Amino acid sequence: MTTFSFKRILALLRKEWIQVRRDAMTLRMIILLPIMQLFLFGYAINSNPQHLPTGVLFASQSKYERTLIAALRNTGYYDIQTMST
Amino acid sequence: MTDSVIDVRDLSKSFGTRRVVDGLSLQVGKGEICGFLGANGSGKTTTIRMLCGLLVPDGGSGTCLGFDIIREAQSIRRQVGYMTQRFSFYDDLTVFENLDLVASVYEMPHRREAVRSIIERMQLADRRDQLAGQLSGGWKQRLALTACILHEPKLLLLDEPTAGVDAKARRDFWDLIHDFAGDGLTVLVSTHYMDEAERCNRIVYLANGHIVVQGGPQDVSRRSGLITFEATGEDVDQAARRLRRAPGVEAAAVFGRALHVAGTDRAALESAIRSAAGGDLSWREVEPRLEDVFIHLLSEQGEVA
Repeated sequence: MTTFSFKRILALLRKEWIQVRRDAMTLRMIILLPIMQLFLFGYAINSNPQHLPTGVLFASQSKYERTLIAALRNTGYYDIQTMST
Repeated sequence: MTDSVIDVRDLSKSFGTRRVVDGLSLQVGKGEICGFLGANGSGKTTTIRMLCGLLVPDGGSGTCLGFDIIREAQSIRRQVGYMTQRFSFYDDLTVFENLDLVASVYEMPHRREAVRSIIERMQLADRRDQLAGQLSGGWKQRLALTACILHEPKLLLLDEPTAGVDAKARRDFWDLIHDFAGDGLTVLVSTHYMDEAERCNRIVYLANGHIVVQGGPQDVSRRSGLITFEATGEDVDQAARRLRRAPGVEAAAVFGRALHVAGTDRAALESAIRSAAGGDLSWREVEPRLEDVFIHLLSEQGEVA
């Protein structure tokens, strides 16, 4: 754009401000909507992954490996399928 | 015409497969009022939008205010006032705020001063702090026009400015347009009203994206070769019905208590009037009405095509 200028952006900002101030509904939305989203995302929606299908290939069966698998299971992140050669 | 404000050749534009404007050439000189006439969908709005650089034509070339309509569209927009068909300002801003916004967007120096003086000049002072959405149609139109001339354009493009506005407001509007033209502003206005067409210096009649005819209002009606007789008296409705079927009569229409009969062949027309019309009508020859002329030109073109 060759005719870009901050003055013109400012003019539009001023217009938007008048419009927002005049319309109670818009003002309410601007304040309430982010608050609603804050609680919704905070409590209800959890973005941690769970039950990821996971395959573990055993080279040998021993105490240490069983301990490791049990620890992974207990995190709740993985659904472990064990396979042996 | 030495200094054409608008000078375009062979403009064309298609939307999808439809050719909306097809090979349109137009020259408009400084200070002229050029009227655009034509049915809905004949390409008036599209042409106007190509002239002010809002649409890029598919073909053709030309200049508007000395700028190339394809390469220098930005510069054109700074110097034209385009009044859109539908009210396009903010309903929830007051008259003053709307004008102030336009002035700042055009980066006018001494903006407050300019807005104050234009409000004074266009007699909007009483409505200064009223919301635009609450204005009546006539005042909305006046506000739109004011916003278009605020940045002192050299060319005004008005797209059906008087649609839905009462007769008094229309008359005032046209008086203003003539004032502007007197100050050297060039005006291009599209309209459906024939009485408005007669107030233009030049009319351009469009149909299906072609120019059917252009010239001064008198010039156009003379060139059509149409002859019109007017009858007054009782029973004009009966006479109209008989005349419509008579040979040589192209149109017979009743306006109030007067009957207009139009045709191109004088002898046939006169004999039709003698034989078909009733006795107690008084006849005289009149200037053909623009409406009849356009209908005639359209049907003539239909035969050629």
